[in-house]
Amino acid sequence: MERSIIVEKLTDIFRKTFDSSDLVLEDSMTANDVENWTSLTNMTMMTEVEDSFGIRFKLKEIQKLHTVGDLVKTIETKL
Amino acid sequence: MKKGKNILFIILGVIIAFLMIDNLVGYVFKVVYNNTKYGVIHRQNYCLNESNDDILILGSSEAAHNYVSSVFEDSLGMTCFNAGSDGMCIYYYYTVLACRIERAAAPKMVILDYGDADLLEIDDPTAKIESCVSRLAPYYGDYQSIRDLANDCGPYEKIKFFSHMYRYNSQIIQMCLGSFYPTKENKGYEAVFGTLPDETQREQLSLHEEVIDQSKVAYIHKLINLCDQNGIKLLIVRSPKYYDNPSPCFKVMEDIAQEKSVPYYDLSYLETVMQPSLFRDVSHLNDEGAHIFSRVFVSIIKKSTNY
Amino acid sequence: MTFTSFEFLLYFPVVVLLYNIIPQKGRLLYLLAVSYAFYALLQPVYLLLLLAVTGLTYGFTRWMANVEDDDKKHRVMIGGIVAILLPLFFFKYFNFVDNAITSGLQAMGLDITMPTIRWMLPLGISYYTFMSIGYLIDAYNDDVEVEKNPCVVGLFLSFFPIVLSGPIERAGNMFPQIKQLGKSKVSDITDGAKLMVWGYFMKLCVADRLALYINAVNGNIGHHTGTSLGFAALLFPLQEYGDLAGYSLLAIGAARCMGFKVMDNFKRPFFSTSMSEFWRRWHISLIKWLTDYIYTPISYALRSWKMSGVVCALLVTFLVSGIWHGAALTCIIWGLMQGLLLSIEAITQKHRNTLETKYKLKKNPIYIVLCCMIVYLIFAFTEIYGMSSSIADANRIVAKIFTEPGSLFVHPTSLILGVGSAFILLFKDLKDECGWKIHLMHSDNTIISIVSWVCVVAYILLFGILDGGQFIYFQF
Repeated sequence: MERSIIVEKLTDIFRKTFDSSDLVLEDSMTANDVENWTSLTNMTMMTEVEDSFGIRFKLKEIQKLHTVGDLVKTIETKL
Repeated sequence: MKKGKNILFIILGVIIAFLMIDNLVGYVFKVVYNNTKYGVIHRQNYCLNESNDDILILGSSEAAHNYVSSVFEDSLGMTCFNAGSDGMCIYYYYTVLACRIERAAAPKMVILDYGDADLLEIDDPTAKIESCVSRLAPYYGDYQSIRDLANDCGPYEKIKFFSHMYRYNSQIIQMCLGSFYPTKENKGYEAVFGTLPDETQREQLSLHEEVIDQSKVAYIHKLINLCDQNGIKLLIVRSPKYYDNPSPCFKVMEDIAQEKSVPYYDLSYLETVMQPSLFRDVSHLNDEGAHIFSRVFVSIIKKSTNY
Repeated sequence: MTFTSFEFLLYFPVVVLLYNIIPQKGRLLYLLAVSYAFYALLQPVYLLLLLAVTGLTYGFTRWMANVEDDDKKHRVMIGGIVAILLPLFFFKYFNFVDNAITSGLQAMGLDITMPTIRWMLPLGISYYTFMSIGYLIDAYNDDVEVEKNPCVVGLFLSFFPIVLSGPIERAGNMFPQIKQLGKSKVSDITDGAKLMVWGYFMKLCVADRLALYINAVNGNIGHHTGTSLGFAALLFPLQEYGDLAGYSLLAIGAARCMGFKVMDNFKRPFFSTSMSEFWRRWHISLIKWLTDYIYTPISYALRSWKMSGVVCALLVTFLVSGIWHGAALTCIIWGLMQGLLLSIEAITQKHRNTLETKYKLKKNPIYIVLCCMIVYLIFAFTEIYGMSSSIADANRIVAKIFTEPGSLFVHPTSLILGVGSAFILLFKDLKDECGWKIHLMHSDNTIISIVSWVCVVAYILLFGILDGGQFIYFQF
């Protein structure tokens, strides 16, 4: 899958999970930059990503993700 | 080297700023404290700095609320000041007396009202030397007796008392109340009002782990010796209580009194006042009870001591 | 010798001075010796326990490092965690579990008395145990390199500013700093001193002063009216904040004086507009630990359960938090209450977001203030259970608050000074929260900075409780 499509799908997931209709994703973004992206909503978002892309994350992989860029890279390696 | 100089300048700046603020604030507090017109601070100022009263009553809240100075004055023809104070213990009583003697104003008679807090190790801030030092801290510079008490408290007190502000720790509210909130002064006697419910029964306190505090016992001996050395007539009293305290500590005090030939009066079950209507709570007589008790006690003094 | 004892004030500058004088090579052993001496002065026998846990931590992490197979590595990690938890269990929870078993047996008609053990709780055990387990898990996840030098591990777990009451630090943050041990910069010492002074203000002027009033009321529930009990309950979060956050600042400041950057533990918690936000600002190091090592793994395992998985994870996490705080039913109830509140917030999050967006509430100052007040009241209510010695007492307090109003017990000195100091604290937090550029202690002007710092010291000398109080969190 092309990176731009991954980012597009991810943007939809982020906007839906974090109730932020005009959110634009950047590689350097972290949870601090997005309202409603907390440890409570993080796993919900990860589950949506798994279902949407048909992939499975390991716990270690989730714990090592700090930025949106990290997440995109990890999705790319699994597709 | 530049870094070292930097930190030295900062430390020096801090020390100078601290000394200036400490001395200035300390001076202002001292003036306000010494000119307090009402309440606990005023009574303490009077007792330590001015009183030449013949009779000095020492003790904690029981002393303050149970002994009516005017009754002693009228019946014995001697001036009397009640220096009893809430939340104090033997360290305070001794030091107050020692300060008066240091001022060459020794009383003729001392009535020491005591309780178990004056003999036992009790885990209550009011029964510890620290709170007595804290109460007398504003006079640290004025009396050697208070400096001695502070030194007994711990090896670092000398350093702490270097700060003038430290001496007035936690005093500000009492200072304000004492400057602006008038209370009736009655030669130190603090009247309390209210009664126990009519049906209140006299009950026995349950004993906790009882350990005699040897430091407190030492101060009892010091007080007795101080009276002896200055020709002061000492009377040791347990004033009326509306409960039974089976503590063996009272026997300890009785034995000390007997050993040192000090008149000892256990009036904790004085029948004349054993009614709920004469007690504000189980430890303290109300104003009516205090008057009755004072009259009874004065007559006991007259009979036994030829006053 | 605790942080608020006068001896500490005398010895600490000497410790910092010597730290900077001795050569860099000797600093690790020096700090280790000072830390062990500090601990030994408080509880000499339990220093052996700290050493034992340090030994176990070092041993298990080195073992893991030499194991290739991931499953075996996992088993070694689990073994290490169990071994390290054993002392905590025995010292803190043995009697509680014991009593629970005895009650259970009696309820079944079996009158068997289990043996109880009377021993004092080793200071700091809950903190260094969690730090140790965190290191083990981080080493397993390759988040931190396994440390070969036992002295580094030793200092990590015993570092005297943080050993007794946290913050609960991470090996990833501390190991590099321990291995560097550079001299203190001038800014380290001045910043550290400023943090410590503010910590003393919070502890001595807010926490200990309010404690006099609160303990007097709560120590005699039968004697006081519901109004007094309610007022004491309202003041209690401020006392706790002053106590724990004040102590944390003392720890962070003391570490900073020696050049260490230790994590923040509190971030103006009373300006939270939800309980979830509150728990991101209160006892941050503990919550981060619980999030990383309890909540995340559980919510990951249950992620297919969607919201139910989140709720389960929250309840378990805060149950653990409650148990960590104390071996008592009240702590468990408190923990479950927190879990329940956060679950309700998680479930209703989307609806609240919709409402807030629709009516533009998020930027409405009245809405923000109202939310902060509600969060404060909720926390104060849950703390009635958290701080009571029994459920019956807590229920009694709650019942009296709502059914027995009356006159308020007034103790002028502790109320006026305590509440006054709390206002100063809250005002400073408000200033920081709103980003107002009023800088006194942190002013760029050295003279203003020094004078402000001395004024805070003067305030502490005049209005603080100086005859030594106990930190609430010393029982952990």
